[in-house]
Amino acid sequence: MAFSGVSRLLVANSALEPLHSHLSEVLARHAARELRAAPGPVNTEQIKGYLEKSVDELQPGEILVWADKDPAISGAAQALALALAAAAPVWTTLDGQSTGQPFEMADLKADTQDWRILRTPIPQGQLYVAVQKNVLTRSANGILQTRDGILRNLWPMLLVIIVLVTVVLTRAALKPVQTLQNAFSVVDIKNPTEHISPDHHYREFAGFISYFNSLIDRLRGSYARATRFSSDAAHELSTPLTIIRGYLHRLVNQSPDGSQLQIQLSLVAEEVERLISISNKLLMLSQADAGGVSLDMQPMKLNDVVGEMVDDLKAQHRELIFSVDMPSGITFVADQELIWQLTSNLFGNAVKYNRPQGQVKFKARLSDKSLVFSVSNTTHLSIAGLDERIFERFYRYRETDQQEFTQVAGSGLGLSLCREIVTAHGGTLTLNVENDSWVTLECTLPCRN
Amino acid sequence: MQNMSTNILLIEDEQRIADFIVTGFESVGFVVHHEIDGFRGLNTALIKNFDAVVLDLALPMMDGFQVLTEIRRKGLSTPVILLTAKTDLADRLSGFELGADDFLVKPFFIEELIVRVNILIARKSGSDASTIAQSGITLDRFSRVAKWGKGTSVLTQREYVLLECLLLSPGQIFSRQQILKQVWNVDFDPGTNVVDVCIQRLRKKLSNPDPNAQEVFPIETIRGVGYRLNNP
Repeated sequence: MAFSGVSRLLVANSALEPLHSHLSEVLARHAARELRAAPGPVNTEQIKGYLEKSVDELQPGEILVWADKDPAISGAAQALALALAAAAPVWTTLDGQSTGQPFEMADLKADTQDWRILRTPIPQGQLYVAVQKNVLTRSANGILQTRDGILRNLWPMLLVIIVLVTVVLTRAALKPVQTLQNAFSVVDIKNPTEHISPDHHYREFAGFISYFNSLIDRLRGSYARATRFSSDAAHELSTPLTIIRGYLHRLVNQSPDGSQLQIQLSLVAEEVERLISISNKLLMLSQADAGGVSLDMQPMKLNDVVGEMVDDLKAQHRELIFSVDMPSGITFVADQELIWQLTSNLFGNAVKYNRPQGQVKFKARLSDKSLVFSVSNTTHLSIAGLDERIFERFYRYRETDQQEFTQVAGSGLGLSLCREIVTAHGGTLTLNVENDSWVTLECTLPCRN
Repeated sequence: MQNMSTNILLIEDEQRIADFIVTGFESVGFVVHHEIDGFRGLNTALIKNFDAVVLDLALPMMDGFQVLTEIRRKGLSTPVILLTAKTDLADRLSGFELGADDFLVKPFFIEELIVRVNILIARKSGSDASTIAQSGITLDRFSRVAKWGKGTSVLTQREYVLLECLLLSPGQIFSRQQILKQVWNVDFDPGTNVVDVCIQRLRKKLSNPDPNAQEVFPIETIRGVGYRLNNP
């Protein structure tokens, strides 16, 4: 619609002159062809008939053709010829190349009609072709309307094509980036020799790829150092600890039963146990840092693990109330030993920081995607300042800054380890503190089949 | 189960650990032959007869995996228990794949090593390992039924493992932490009394209903230290 509006505006402004000239040329070309087709004496009626056929929806008398010294000139043509002679307009030359015959063109106003007159020399003088200007305007409008129609119909298709081309171009432009990304994602950090070869990618990426490769190498260096550190530390610590523990134990066995010496030795043995426990935890944490916690994934029953643990705890802490809210038969795939350690740490905390006559709640629910379980406990601590820092290594929660560390039990590694265990399984461990002195640690593990 | 003719081959490069293991085994009457590298260890294992091999993984000349592979390739079925400082699962799995019978991570309790070696030898010799009898207590491994005097009781899993642990190392004092580690496989914080509760339950289950009985229950509490099964 917009296009036809624009074309009408052009008509009103008489800006159709270029189109008029073009149509005049077309008319001249037709006349020239007819002159060439019928050599000899010019038959104006025949030329007129031919020209009338070349214009659509033509009314009689809208085109007139006559020649100088034409014996068969019609009345209308005669009148126009006289008016033309009287007006003596300025003739402009038409482009002769397209017609093959020199044509001149002039405008004439006669009897309220605007005429366009074309003339060309013939043997007996000039051949005149007169056409009413409104015929030209009508034809021009017809052309414009056809153009508008085509545009209107093409418009949605054009839009679709533009969108399609954009999508295709974007895809094509992003494809090398996508290929590169795929190549990045499969690089195995643990394989010391694997790099991305720049050969299969665009030259523009070569710098980027070599930078990535150097990053990977640095990462591998750190990874190797961290892994080696943990295994070296394991070896170096385990030997003296085994020996200390072994001989201490032997001394405990050899000293007189119930003697002061035996009790003191057993206290030392207890500290050695604590040291071994800390060194084991640190080793596991450094392995986790190096991304090296290897999981022995086995199907396991949460009900059994928790049931056993809660039974033990009930026997041990008769002053606490334990409740378990868990559907029966929860089976999931995980590293049994680590999950055991995780739950026992969580329960251990729930008991350790509980208040007298307090409560411990265990909740679990299993969905298609994940297993969520939580251990909640009441506590004697004021828990306003309890936050994410409890997952940091060696962090000890103190109610006030003045409180001494020695008043708080534990190594400060347990929850850090718990979080690493959960992370190694692809899950999350979060802390929820409720105002009525309940502390909840909630663990979400993704389900694997 | 332990007798003078039990021969153990220990392949361990760390002299201090080796001394400690040797004295531990000798104190319960085992004969231990010690080699300090994988090559000599393998040679000795192939030449002489042993009831069990205690094999460290990190060894000079040949590592533990290679020694184990060779031992199995020569067709020896001697029970092999691996010692390692690493907690790597991959190590453990490849150890079992290569034909190891058991696996112990350092630092370990010597009592646990001895118990495990004993179990491996008993299993290998096909001797009647279904019951353990020690200090008047008998324990059926399959039915988990324990007997002492006239008392008979079916034990829970925990009570069973605890009693088995004590029965296999008579005369040894077990600290609470040690029992926690070996029976519960977890290091709870000190201060827990889950062990004491379990021992009391055992005592109650097995105690003789006859009040005139003169027998003293063989599991003894060592005040401030731990528990011990008395060796008659």
